[in-house]
Amino acid sequence: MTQYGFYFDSTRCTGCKTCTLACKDKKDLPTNLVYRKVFDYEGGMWEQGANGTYQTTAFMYHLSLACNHCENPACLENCPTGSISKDEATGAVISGAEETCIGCGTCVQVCPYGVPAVNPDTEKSVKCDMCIDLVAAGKQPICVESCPLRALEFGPVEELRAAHPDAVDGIAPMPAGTETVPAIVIATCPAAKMPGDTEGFVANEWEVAAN
Amino acid sequence: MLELDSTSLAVFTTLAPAGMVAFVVMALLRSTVADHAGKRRVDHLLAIPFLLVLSGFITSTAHLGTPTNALYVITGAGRSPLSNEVVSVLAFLFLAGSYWMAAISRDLPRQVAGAWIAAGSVAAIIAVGFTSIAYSIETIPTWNTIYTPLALVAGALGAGCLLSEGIYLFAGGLKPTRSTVLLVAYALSCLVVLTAMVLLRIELDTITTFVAKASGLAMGYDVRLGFYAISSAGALCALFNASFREEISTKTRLALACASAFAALWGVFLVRDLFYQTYMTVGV
Repeated sequence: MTQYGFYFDSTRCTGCKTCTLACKDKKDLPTNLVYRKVFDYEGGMWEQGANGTYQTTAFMYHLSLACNHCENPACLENCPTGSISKDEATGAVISGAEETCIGCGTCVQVCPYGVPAVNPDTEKSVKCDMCIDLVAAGKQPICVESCPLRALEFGPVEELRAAHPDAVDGIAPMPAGTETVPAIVIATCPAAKMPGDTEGFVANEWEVAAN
Repeated sequence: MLELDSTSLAVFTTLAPAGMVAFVVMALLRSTVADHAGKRRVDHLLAIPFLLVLSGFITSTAHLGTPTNALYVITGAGRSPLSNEVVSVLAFLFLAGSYWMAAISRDLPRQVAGAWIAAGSVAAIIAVGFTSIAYSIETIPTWNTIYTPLALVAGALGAGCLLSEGIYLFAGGLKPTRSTVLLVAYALSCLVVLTAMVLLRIELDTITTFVAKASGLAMGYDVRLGFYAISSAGALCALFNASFREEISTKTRLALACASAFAALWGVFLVRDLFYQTYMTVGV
């Protein structure tokens, strides 16, 4: 199996959320559901120095995050009905098999990235499937296609890692990927903080938590 | 939604493990009953732990979005900690329920009854074990501690012993030494639960993500533990009086046993609800 994944360039992302909306449109999602979220991570302050001038430690950046299609997905390991599977061809984590999902929300609870959700209309688990239909047709996922800044790329994750050797597999507010091994490659902007950072905070917490 | 979901799960993890331990304790005590009529009385009363587990199990389905697909959990034994838990509880319900129905409708041969009830007891022990480890999930550090299975098993053990003693009062009561053992087991189990929850409280202080401090998750943690201690002490006092005060009427004795069971289960529920409130993943 070739594990596919996303590459996210945080030096390019402006937080416009085109990726979020393009995905929402393609997947025809209800108003209270998105598969890709853009986190605004901010921190720091302005401090007055002894000479009366102000120095800043303020920082902010965006992180566009959908399912990371982890190599050891916690959602898959803990699903009691086997409704979550890994696609043989792409490694995509596919959730909510129509006939078997019981909507128990275990996948929602265990995912450290807050990715799966129980669709309030269907009462089934739903999440990003890396636009597996488009990928099968030789195209790119809709979020990648739509990004006006070309901050997203998609492909075999090992190829992405080779193409971006300085990239990392997580920045704050993501957790360290030790538990689930996310298939994501991230180029760090100068402001980027590493997982576990305690200097910053998610400035749009309500926005990302509400979906 | 999580709050409502967790309440039904708190009810399940209160009633089911306690009921299953009560079944095991009652089965052990039944094996020491010599006369046939005594065994029959106990067989009838085994309906109480069975119904406790069944009602807990039914309540737990309230957190499912699509319960019509629930049968798929049964086909998934070994697939995930949750499916193991559900399948093992169903196995217990099948064995205990079928035993109860068979035992009250006819005289079962001694060996058959013994084997059947032993199988139910083994299923109960396995189910309590699986339930206790179903929350040991790597990505949820506040649940993935030794205190999770410890508090659940100790709570079930204590409530199960207390329920057994109370239920046996309906069948004429146990020998004083056995009653003492069950009440002491309950008291010790409560102490273990309290210790585990206090140690968990200390550990929560050390678990932090950029989003939240785990210590801030559960509202009124210490107050709830206080209520647990009070309801447990009340349950113990009530059942002690019901078991050892000979001058009280049978009606009062049974009323005290019921009040004691309610107080003990309420205490366990408070701790279980508290546990669900400590939910926090390693991430966003």
